[in-house]
Amino acid sequence: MEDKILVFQCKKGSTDALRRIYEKYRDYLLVLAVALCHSAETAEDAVHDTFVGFAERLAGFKLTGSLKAYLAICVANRVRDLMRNQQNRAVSLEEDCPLTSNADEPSRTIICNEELQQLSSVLTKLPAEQREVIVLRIYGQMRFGVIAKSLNISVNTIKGRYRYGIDKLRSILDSEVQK
Amino acid sequence: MRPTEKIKELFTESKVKVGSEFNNRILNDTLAAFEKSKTKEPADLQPSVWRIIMNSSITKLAVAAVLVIAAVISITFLSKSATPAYAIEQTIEALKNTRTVHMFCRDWDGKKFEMWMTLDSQGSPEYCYSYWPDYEVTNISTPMVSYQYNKKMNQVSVNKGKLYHFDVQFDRMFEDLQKEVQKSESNVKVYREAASSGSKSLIVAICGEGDESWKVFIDPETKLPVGLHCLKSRNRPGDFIRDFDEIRFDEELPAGIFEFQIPEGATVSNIDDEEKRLSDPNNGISTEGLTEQQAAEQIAGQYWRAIIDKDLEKAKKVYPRTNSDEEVEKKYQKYFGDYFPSEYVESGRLYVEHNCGLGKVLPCILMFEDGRKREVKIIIRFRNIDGKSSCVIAGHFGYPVEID
Repeated sequence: MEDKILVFQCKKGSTDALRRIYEKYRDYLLVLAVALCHSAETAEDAVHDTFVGFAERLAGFKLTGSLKAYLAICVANRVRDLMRNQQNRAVSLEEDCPLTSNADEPSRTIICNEELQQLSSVLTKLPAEQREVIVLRIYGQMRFGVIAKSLNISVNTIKGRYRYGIDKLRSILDSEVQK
Repeated sequence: MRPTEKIKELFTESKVKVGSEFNNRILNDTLAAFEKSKTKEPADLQPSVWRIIMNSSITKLAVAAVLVIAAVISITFLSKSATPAYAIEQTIEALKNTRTVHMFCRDWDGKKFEMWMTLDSQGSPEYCYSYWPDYEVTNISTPMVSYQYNKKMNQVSVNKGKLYHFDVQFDRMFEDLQKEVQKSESNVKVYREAASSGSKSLIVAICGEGDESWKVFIDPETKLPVGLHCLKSRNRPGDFIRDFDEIRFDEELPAGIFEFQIPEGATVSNIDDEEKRLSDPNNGISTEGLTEQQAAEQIAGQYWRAIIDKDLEKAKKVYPRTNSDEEVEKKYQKYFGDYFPSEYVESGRLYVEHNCGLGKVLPCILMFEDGRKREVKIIIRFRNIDGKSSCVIAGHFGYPVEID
């Protein structure tokens, strides 16, 4: 309910309400973005672009579901676009994108704790589309139907991606335990 | 611990520490964007202005008249105007920038099938998946290993590398069109045509001459082909793709589409063993002093005589795909059905079929035991082993097709 009120106040022109939304979801969206792309830099850009885009569209914005889920999908979409651009440069995610994007100047960046680094490096071994569904399902706590609708893909495809992703995760985690 | 639980646990414990400068940058940009958006007129006001105007019946009538005139003008314009700005090179270049292709096609028997492909940086197919619902046949071609699975027969053919007989050369089709233009510009007609669905008019290129002609639909914005129909072709029924009804680019690939697991109880044949026999210099015929056409006709003659005489040993010598007689018999039974060839009438011109990676294709006309004439295509592979040139029959292309 609080989100609906915040959006309503934003639409009335309240910058405080917008600031509140930003503070409420910033960290959540950053963790989500890092998990999706294993790159602090890309995650920062994705979250930045999501909030800027959200602010630009607020006048015509109608909240029909959860604001948290809406923002999470926006971040996922943005991450996908940014990664696609990076793919064109043909770089390896692990080599090019450390999880502290500018370690010498910590005030300018985000720093991920050990768990997030571990999580992100496990997830990066999955194909992007499976990773996306797993993150939105487990971390975003979204239903398959909601993910499918948001990504404009059939529910069965989403379920398939989730299943394949979980199977792969199992073998990744098992092999790490064996090491 | 289950993977979902482990991941949940890691998510719960995941934290980010946000630098103050970074935080201020996002917040300031967000608030600036918000302030800027306040000065814009909301978009949803616009339709109401339109509705006010359209409330007048005179306005409605005038608008309708304008629309009719515009439609007539645009049809005339679209059907007659050429688009000299378009060049096939633009399509070749645009293909290099795409990564996935999703196509809805029909083969020469009118059977629908669906294909997914990933393209490399040159626009050439790398991974390929196709599925024929009517035959329940799935093809998966990857640079490492490929499969052809016939669900009805529960049979799987496996080979190393890309699918041995299935070599869709999407990029080369357009390079061929480019060559047609270079040969003679009159071979290619370019104009615009309204799309059958949607409002966008498409660039249409009719390419080719004689017995080969294609109609290609190009998106005027992206310059990518969105459809392709064969008008005339020497590739007669029994061949592979006739029409690309719809071509979509850069769609997200369905998960695991290029993965395949051999179903339980399936009969598996290893094509790589067959490949070894095809590379054996003791098989096939020498092509020394012959043109490819002459060599193809010679080997075809030997092969069909052997088939007509039911001399499987001789047939295996020029077409060494199978080892045991039982296997050979089964194959031919499946291929020809109840009636075997009874007379070899003639052969046509050897040609390159872009969907066949095994070799060049030679069409042959044969009389069958039921008194009907059919065309059967065979694939001729030319080899150079230890400096000696030779050729071998590498397969049949498509199924026999009855002709008048």
